[in-house]
Amino acid sequence: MTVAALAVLGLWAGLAYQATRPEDASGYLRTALQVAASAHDAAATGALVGRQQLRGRLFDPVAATAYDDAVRAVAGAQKKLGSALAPDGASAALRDRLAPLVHATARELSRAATAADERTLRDAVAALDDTARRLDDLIEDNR
Amino acid sequence: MKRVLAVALGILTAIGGFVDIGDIVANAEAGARFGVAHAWVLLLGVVGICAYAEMSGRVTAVSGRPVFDLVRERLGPRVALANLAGSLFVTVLTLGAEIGGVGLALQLATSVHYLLWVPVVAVVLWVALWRAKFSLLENVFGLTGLALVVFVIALFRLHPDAGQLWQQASHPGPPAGEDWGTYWFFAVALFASAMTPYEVFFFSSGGVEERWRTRDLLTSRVNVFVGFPLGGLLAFALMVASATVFQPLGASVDALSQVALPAAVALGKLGLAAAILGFFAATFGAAMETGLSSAYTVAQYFGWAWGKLRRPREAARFHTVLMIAILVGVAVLMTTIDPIQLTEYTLVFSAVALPLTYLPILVVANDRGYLGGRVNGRLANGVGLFYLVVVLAAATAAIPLMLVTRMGGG
Repeated sequence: MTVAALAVLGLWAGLAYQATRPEDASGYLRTALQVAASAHDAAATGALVGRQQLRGRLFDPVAATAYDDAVRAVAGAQKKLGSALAPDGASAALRDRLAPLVHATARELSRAATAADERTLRDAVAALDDTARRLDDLIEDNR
Repeated sequence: MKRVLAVALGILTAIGGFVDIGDIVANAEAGARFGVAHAWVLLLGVVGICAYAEMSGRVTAVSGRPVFDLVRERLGPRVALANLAGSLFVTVLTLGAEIGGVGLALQLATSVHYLLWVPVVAVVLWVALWRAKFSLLENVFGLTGLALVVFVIALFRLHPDAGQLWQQASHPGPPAGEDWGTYWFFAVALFASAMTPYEVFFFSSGGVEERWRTRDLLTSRVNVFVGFPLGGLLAFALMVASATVFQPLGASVDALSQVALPAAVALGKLGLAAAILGFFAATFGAAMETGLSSAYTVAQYFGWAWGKLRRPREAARFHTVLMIAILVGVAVLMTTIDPIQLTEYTLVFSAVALPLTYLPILVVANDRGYLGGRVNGRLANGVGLFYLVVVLAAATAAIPLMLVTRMGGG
């Protein structure tokens, strides 16, 4: 009985340690790449939705839902990046390169979703394309 | 003539009814990330479900009783309880995922958040299962589900690179940037989406509801061997459409709004409307099937009166279980878990529960006491045993792959 209780306690302590210990450089890199991939997917999808909107191929509720889904994905990515501590200088540099791109994705998705005219939407699509490309470069550079 | 029409209707409903939220999600996600490198898994899954659905249909047509009823009688209450626990857990979770899928389809049509639709869908579902005739429900949603043919038509407008698709299909494996663990995780999810446990129990109990006899064996087999593969073709079209639109962008798919986009890219608003209608019908139809399947298995295990042929008053416990299953499905969704994520979890647990479902069916299908001379032949047993090995491998690998790949996140 005592042995079982100790084993459970040990397992619990191990899990608690695993869950709370700060990430090392490789763990941080993995998190950063996941964040970049999420932001990239959202930017690429947002650009695709915007292009179809410009061609008159989407119903408004579908476009609104697609932007909403993309914004939610980016918000999740931002939260994940914000909660991870960069363990060294290289990780901090990666964060400083990634964070503005994730922020830009969220901003341009919101601009596309609320675009009142074609020109604004076209600009937002171009910006999303550009951000998706830069996120793709970042992923390739760090893979 | 009437018989031919009945067979044709059965095939069409089998095609439309084959695809559910699991097929939609798994095929679109796999297509976007791996192209058609998982085409063989879909083929494997479709042949497997055909083999076991044929056995279930035969057992029902010859014995006049549903498979689960015979499993309990033949293997005893303990083994049947393990079967019931595994399949019921997965089926109720799947019911939640299907209701969420209906909500997501309605959100695409109205932009009203899916969670606001969930209680409405649950009430409509319960009323439909309480009031409407079995054949009416099956035919309406099976036929409307055929709207997903839009993804097959879309392929002709999207002009996918046939050479590249053939290369991916004939050389299975992860593309650059993906790893083998994630590839196998999606393989297990796709296999589970094709061989979902509820399908065989629903097919068998539905056979009893429609009063199948030995003379209906041909109808049952035609439905299975023509309808299911054509339904699998719809699932494959979802995979190819997703691969054609999203793979060049390097973007993964994790929302129903993304799954619909290839139809819009290829066919504009008309295609998009058909896709949304198809999603609605496929998920609502599957919600009915999973709801009924939950109640069928519980009622058959305890020996209660069951079925839509009886008045609700005569099968009160059956309808109570049905209502509880719907409420549990709604409660799961009300935790605000994303229905797509719920579907992914459901597919993993489904894979784990597969042996509990399929081994007893194979045993019953070999029992001369129930089937006389209609027991499995060498071919059916060979195929059945082969699939048991595959199912065991998938069940063993599902949870480790889920943990190692972080639900396919890599």
